[in-house]
Amino acid sequence: MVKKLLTLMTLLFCALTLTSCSAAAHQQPKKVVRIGILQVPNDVAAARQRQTLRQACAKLGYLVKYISFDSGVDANKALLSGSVDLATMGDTNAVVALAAKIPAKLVWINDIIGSNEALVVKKGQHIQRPQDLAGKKIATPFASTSHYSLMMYLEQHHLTGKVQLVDMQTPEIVAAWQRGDIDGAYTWQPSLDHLTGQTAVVDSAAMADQGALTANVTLATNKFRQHHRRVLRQIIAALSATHSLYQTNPSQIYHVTAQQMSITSRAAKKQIGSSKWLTAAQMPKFMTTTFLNQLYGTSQFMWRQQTLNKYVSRQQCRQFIDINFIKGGGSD
Amino acid sequence: MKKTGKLKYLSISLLTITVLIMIWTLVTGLDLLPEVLLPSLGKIGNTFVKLWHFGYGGVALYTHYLITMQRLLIAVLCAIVLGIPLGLMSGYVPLIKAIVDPLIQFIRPIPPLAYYTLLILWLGIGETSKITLLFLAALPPIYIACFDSVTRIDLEYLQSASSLGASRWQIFCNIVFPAAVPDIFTGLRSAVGVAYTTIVSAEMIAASSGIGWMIIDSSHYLKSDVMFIGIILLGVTGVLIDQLLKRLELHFVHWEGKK
Repeated sequence: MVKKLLTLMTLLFCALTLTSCSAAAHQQPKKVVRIGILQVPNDVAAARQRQTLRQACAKLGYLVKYISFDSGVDANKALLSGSVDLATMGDTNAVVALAAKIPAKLVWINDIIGSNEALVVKKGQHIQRPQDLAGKKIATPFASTSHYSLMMYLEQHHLTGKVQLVDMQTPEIVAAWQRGDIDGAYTWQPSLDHLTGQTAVVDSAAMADQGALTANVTLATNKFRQHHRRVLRQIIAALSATHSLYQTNPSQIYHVTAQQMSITSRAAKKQIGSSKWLTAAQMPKFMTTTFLNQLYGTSQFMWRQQTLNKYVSRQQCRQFIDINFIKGGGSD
Repeated sequence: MKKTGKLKYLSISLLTITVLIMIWTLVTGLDLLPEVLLPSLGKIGNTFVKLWHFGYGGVALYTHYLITMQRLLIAVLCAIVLGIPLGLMSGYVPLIKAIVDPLIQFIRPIPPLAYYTLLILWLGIGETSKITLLFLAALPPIYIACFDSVTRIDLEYLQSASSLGASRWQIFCNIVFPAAVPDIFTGLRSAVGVAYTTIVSAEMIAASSGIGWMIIDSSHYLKSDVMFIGIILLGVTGVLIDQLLKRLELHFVHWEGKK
């Protein structure tokens, strides 16, 4: 009886394996673009929901495959191992990619982070001045844009080394906050909203005004940039169309990103906050001036903090930014 | 004869390591792989010296190391203190077995990371949740080794002892426990092994110290040289701990295999 059952199971297993193999073999030989995305209401989510990204790629015979990552840290590992062609990440992770010589370049800025990332502390901690943060325990996802903004804030107020920083991902920050394990957190939406009874200290829009700008950026592998130029141009055009829409009709963007993320438009609006989406016309100049300076500044800061073990020169930063795929940018 | 045989195998082991290091040197020397994927041994050595002098993340390297070992030690000690009596009693008293055994058998096969986030919600982000995770990993092997050893004791011993008028407690202390000691050591070795393999997971969430955290954090920045240092440190320490336990076993358990 047992023997029969075992034989049956083995047969079933073999059959399943074979069918899955043949299913894989039958897949159409179409070209595929693999895009690493973050689960946030951004331009990729909007273009995905509006089908413009799919259509743009389909025109050139490409299929789009999305792979979602929790953070730029994992996106970098995927880029390095060649598992994705494009990936969106915080600019701090882009600096890591640059320093680690991952064969990829920065081709697009998805958004400049604003009020959607902020440093908050628990009410009743008597924190009125920045100096009151000394001795407190503050959580942030290490290597993220929030981490960078927090470090910059602490440096500006001579608090480096006087505040205990703990590395946590966003869901853990919410849990630790509710348990009372931490005094504050620098994190992003939607987890920022879940931190009840909070007092805001500073947000990334204010940090950007003080010269510590952070952004979400898209990296494309060198292989993809060289061999699939036309489709990359189309993808960037689809993304830039959502940027124009955001500037003229933001409620449309709140609506489509909310649909894509299965949240309400109000939640999407809150999560996007005051982040800036530059149009294709503004982008090349911004990328090669303000953002280049910022990228270089960020790399220097991370080098000083020893979070990077390689020095990155200004020239390397300049070469890392590729504006050729933006309409009106570069040689075309 | 035996000695030369041992020497032969030792030299083969050394040769394997040497060949591996030679291939490594060759691959990195000829730049066959990007440095992020495989840093050169020289680079790893340099980084080690740097870490030794300047620490990692503002904490000295040996402090990271000691913190990790401390977590491991406390967890294993707790597992010993609870696991040995529980396992022995469970093997000796059916009532205790009925209470304890299902719980341990349930916990045993679950990958520790599966319940780690729950532990953090319950116990917070401090040391308690990390040590509890390691403790829960270490407990079942010790318990099971003790339990098995009791059930394997020759019934003849127990019967002759009780016919000579020994009480249940006397039998437990004089026959059951000594008979179980060799197995306890085996259980201890596998418990340390399991707890040790869980150490990186334990330091993955909400930590800012420990060798496991150092590996995770440096992976965020793709600093593979630091990752290699952490891995080598953990590997060498693991072998040393196991050797130490083996020695302890030989020292204490001189009666194994004798009737």
